[in-house]
Amino acid sequence: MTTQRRDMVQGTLDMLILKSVSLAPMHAWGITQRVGQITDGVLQVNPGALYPALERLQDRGWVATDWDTTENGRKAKYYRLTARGRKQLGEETDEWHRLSAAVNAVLRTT
Amino acid sequence: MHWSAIVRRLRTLFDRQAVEREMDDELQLHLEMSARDLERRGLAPLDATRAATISFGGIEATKEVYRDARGVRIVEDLAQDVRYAVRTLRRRPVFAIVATLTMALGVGAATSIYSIVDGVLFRPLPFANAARIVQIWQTYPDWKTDPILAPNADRIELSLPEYRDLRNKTTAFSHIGVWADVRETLVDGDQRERVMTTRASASLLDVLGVRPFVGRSFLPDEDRPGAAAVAMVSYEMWQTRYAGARDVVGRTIHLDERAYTIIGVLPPALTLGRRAALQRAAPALWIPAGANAGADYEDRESRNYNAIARLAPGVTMERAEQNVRAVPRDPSTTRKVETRLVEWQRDQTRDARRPLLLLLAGVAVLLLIACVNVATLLLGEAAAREHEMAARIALGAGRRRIIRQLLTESLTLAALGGALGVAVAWAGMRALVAIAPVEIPGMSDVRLDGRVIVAALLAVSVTGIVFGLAPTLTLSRTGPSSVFRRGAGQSARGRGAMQRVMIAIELALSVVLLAGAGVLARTFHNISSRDPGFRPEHLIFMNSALPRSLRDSIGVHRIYEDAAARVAALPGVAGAVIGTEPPFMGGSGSASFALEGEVLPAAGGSTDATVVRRHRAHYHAVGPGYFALFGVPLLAGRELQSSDRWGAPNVVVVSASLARRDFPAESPLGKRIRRAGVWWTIVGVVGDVPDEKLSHPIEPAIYSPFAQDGGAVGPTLIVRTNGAAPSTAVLQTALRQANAKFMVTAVYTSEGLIEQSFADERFRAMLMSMFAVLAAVLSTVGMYGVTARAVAGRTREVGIRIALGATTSSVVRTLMRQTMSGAAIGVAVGLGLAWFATRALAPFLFGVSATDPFTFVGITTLLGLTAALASWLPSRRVSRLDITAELRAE
Repeated sequence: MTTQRRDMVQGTLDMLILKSVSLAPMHAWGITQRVGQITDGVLQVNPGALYPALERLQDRGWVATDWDTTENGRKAKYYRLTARGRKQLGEETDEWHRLSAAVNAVLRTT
Repeated sequence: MHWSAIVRRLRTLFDRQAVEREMDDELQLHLEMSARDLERRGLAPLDATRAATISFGGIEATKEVYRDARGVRIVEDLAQDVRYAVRTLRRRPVFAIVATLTMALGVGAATSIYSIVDGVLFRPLPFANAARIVQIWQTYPDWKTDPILAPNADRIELSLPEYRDLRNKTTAFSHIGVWADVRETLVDGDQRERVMTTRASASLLDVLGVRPFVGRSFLPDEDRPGAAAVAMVSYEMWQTRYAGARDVVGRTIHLDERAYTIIGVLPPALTLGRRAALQRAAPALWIPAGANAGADYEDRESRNYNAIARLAPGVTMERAEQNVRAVPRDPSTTRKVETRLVEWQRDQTRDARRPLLLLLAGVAVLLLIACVNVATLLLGEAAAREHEMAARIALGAGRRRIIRQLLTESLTLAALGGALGVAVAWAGMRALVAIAPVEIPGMSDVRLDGRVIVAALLAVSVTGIVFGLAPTLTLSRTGPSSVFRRGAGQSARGRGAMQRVMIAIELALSVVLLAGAGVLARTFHNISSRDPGFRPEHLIFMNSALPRSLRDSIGVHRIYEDAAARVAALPGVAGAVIGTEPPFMGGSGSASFALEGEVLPAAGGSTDATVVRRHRAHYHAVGPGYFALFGVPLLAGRELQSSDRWGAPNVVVVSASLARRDFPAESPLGKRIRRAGVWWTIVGVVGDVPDEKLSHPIEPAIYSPFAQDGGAVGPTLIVRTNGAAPSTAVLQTALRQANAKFMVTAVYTSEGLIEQSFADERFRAMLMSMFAVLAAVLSTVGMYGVTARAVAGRTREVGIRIALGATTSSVVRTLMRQTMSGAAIGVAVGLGLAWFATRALAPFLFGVSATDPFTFVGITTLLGLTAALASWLPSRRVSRLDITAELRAE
């Protein structure tokens, strides 16, 4: 496997998790897969970062958990977006767009 | 923090196992999924699992960050700090134990005493707006000048007509109620039982602001003579006697020879104010005052009813008092009577207030000493740990981290001391309630006060924190380099001086407590060793009851005398006699009389004579052989005999103090006095016997034959035994032979009654002595500790001195001198303080002055010796010092 690994940009992990679970509830491994798939393996979510982040998001009330079974009948903890989390995702997405636009602008001019 | 976070943290804390299991499951799933994914990409199952595990990157490490994220970091950190603190304390067991015990004693003693003071004095009575309830008393101004009458002069109760006057002619109260507690015989078939009853006005429950638990209370119409007999039973009696049956209302109950219909049940635990432990049993039932008062209903002079009233909304105490004073006295009232109001709760505790506040002051001083002692100990520790602090700084510990650790240590100590203190408080309070004099009202429902525990804990914790942080004071100037300076003890010099100041403070406070305890203990000794004037050994007093119809019959004295003769004939009984209100039974009545020369013969041979001057004395109606049985010495004349009976010439025996007061120049024998409208000839003079308390001044007394006194009721049977007292059942049988309806109601030993009479003094002396001994022990431990620290910190200096030729004894003297000089100053200041403080004790003292020289000299000697010992023991260690080793270590 020669996938190039990148560390997460600080603060973006929360946003990626929220985004991942925004369509449907998802278990933790699913979230790592999802992020990997979408970014084509550019961004890898390390379990050591993922689980504390999930805890943090629960503490803030942005995601909630339910126990459910996977497609092959395994019991798993599913994370889903709460109403507060949806609002937060919107704000973070806006913020990210503003930030990346600004960074792009800087990169373009220099 | 979002609320869900708090819930989740609590779950982590309290359902750790489930949380861990869920985490394991989740991570396991992660690994499995990852492995399966790799398998799909073509890896062999085993390889896939291995690769998944590797890419996961440390399962345990992930679990740890996971735990951190969801965890209770603060709690866990704290636990770690506490564990460390406990370890450091265990390395210094003597310090830890002494500090913990000091705090425990301080907190425990203060809490238990305050809980009692609060329960008795401060806690409001359990009624709505209890502060608005006032007690109405009357006063007899002319009684205030008579030594026998003065104690009761301002606590005269109301008569029922006076109560009706107040009720009808005042506006300051929303309700006024009266009651009188009367013992009655509850009759149920053959069963007879003495119960306390309350004769209450219909308005009494309204004053208290409570409603009947079941049924209704008395109607105004039922509170009048001739009304149908109704009763309310107490909740407790309803439970025990009627098993809480709802249909109790309407049933009949018999008191003595009268039937009452039960109309209601009183609320649980209803008492009229704070009850002394003696009367722990609340009255079993209430009956209307007016319907049961008999002739009292119209008698203005029968002042037998307690009166309380609830102030109307907005009315102040002053206005109510004016309102009450403005009520005109009925013209038939010839004597001067005044009315006064006092807050009900305050009135209940008026006798207990000062002694309890005194104990509170004592224990406050003890708590202060405990705090100073903890401070001294912590300062000592600070000096010893300067080296450790420097080393930690050198190793890179931050100032904040060190402060946090020191704080944790102090708080751990405080927590240990506090926990132990609560245990001490609990045990102490139970012990206090057990040994407390029974007269303190409200003692039986004293409980440990949470607020006080918190306050006392706060006091020691703050002390602990403030002085526990002492090592950090020097942190700023303690550079890492000071690790390398070996004589770290030197910078403790200034602190040593501070410790000596602390010792001086401790000693000064201890002197105050010791002086107080000293004079109180001498008071107790003086009282308890006083001669009661008779032989109380093997003497028992027995109270009994007869049905009312017999009690009021003319020949009742024959029944009593028959009973005395039957009891006297019992095996093991040396003799028995009747007498009203024997000594130490709780005070006797008094009688006024005139001497023969002071009575002017009335005109026309009328029996009513004009009296020039009245004399007053305690009065007892007694059976034949009374003085011989008691062992009261007959000083002149003769004893009362069985021939002194109804129809024979009226005779009296007087006490020595009466003879001295009223017949200073001549023998009283053969003289006549006029009492109750008839002449009595004095036939004997007997020794003085205190009436109520050994410490009270002796008051004159007269004794007349029970058989000649038609008015005397309810005598006590006094029995002298040959050792073992007959059982109550045996006594009861003997009484039943005299009359089938006789009933023993209470049996006391004379010695027990005498002891009880100075229970107050014993209680005070015991507690104060305990406080003082604790104070002395604490300050001794403090002195010892300070000297020991000083010696340990100066071994190098001592080594040099000895090497230079100083003798061991001179070095010991030098070391001792420092502690001793601090102690001397402390004791001197303490003596000065005590000189003033003990004056506050004056009302409690007997036979000793507040500045008793014996006590003061004794304390000084005691503390001097203790200080010498506490400084000599540790100083002596220098003589065992290996000088060469000490110096070589440099």
